[in-house]
Amino acid sequence: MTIGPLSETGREPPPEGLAPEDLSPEDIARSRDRQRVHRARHDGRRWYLLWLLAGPGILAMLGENDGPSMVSYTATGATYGLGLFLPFILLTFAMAVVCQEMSMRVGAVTHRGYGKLVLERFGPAWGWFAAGDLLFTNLVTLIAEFVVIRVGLAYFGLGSGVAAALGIVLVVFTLNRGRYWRWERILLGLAVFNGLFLVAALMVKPHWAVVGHSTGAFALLPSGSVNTLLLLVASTVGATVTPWMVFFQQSASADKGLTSLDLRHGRLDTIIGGTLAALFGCGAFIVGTALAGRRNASGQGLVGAGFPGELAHISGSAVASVFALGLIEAGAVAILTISASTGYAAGECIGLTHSFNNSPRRARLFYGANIAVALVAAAIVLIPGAPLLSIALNANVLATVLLPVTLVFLIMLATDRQLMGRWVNKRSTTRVAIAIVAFVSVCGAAYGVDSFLRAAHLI
Amino acid sequence: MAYPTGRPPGTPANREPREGGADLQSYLEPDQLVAGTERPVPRAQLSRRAVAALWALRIFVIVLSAMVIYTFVAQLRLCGGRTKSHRLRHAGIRRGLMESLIQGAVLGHQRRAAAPGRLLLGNQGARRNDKPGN
Repeated sequence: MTIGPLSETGREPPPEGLAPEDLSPEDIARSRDRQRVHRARHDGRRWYLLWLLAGPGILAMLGENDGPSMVSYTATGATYGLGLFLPFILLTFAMAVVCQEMSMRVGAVTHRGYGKLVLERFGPAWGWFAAGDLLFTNLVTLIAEFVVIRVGLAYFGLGSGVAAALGIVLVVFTLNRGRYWRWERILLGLAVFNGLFLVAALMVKPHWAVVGHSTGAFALLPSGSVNTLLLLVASTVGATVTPWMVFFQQSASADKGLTSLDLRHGRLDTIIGGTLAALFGCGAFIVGTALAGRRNASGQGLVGAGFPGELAHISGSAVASVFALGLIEAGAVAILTISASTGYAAGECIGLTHSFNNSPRRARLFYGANIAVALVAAAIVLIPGAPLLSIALNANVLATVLLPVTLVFLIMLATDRQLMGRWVNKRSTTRVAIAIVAFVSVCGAAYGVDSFLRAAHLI
Repeated sequence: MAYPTGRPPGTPANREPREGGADLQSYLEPDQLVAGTERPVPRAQLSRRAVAALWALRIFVIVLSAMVIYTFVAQLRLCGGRTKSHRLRHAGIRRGLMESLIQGAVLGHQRRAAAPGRLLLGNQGARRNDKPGN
């Protein structure tokens, strides 16, 4: 169906057969948010407009600066010191910004989430595959988040039970009230504390001249092993770009009510998120360099009190406490965003209501999936003797391996002129995105095959 | 031309919504309303080559995932984590200590010089000549 020309009042008519009183509570909540955006734009209040429109990009980026990623950056710093990885982390975040910008753009222009669009545009098989991939990786990643929260809490003498309870209480608490805006602002408030990693980096007093030099110098690994290099590259990519981020940002942009008018701010939101995440990730990396030379430093991250315990010996309890709190925050924000992406995917694929602008009573499946996936992950963490460390170690691998399919469909959607109109991908963007897919696929394959051959004792 | 989302993308760019609570819907684009988003987007016409390429990518990903899962299972078998945990529990060792023991064992054989801690996979082989920093 094609909507007719604009009326004399400048308004478009509502969809056929829809009277104003037929607006759903979700429409009304979203309209109120859009009303504020319209007024801010009309009055020329630029900063307020940015405040209103920021959210999905920052949350996706800082959500991906999750507990396991921060442990990973710290472990990399502890093992290799400054060198290859500091500039490489910045490069992977640039890749993430390219992918997330496409995701935001598709969500804002089509007003539909990733799962729903793939399902409708390419058929149910691809839609369900995408949702299945997402559910699987989300569950594994959520377990890893709970493990990292436990590591942070262990420094303060608290155990797995508290970690599980904290995660679940946060999910249930933030889902209250049925407003996307409220949920997003609570998460943004929590995500600010991702900056604790930067604070910890400042507290370990690194040599800034050396840090500055390392950022500009892209040195290769001393060993020069291609396999090892690919292994590290793939895993660092997996710590920066993941399938859930694509699902989350597209669905959240649609749920927030972003439109094609807001693309500039959406882009800014994504870039700010990427910059903050890169900065905080580098903070964790620099903290890790303080641990360089410690015995077993690379493996300490997920054992007992992990890196905070090690840091306490080297840099004092204040740095260790800040770092431990950072880990708890990183895990908590990731639990909330990853659960949300699961809820969005479930609602979109099954075809039921999937919005934070609905009350839990009206969107049972959405809220149910949100809580259920977190509950399952928490329950697994509480199982005595469960192979938590192995699960946590494999979370990034799975994300990297499954990412190419997600990205290919994202590129197909973003280059679909019929769907995107004048907001279709530029050629240069598509080329960069294809290069990213090729890069991720090669690295993921090298990593997967290498691990398999070693596990099967073939090399 | 029929547009997948029900309107030419970008149509509402010049729209000026009315003020006032009764006119809330004017702040949303028509296909942004719940009723609008419920209209399904028509299927894209993919060429045979595109479909074949998509299936090839899907199979590639499934095979790779199977490899990763195999590695995960092999890793568990190698460490015997679960069996060990049961034994420890039967021996009356408290849980916190037990987890440290299991996780210590998991990490013990891993090659720490090769990769960051969380990225190591099972039997990624501590080679004799691997040294930290190498």
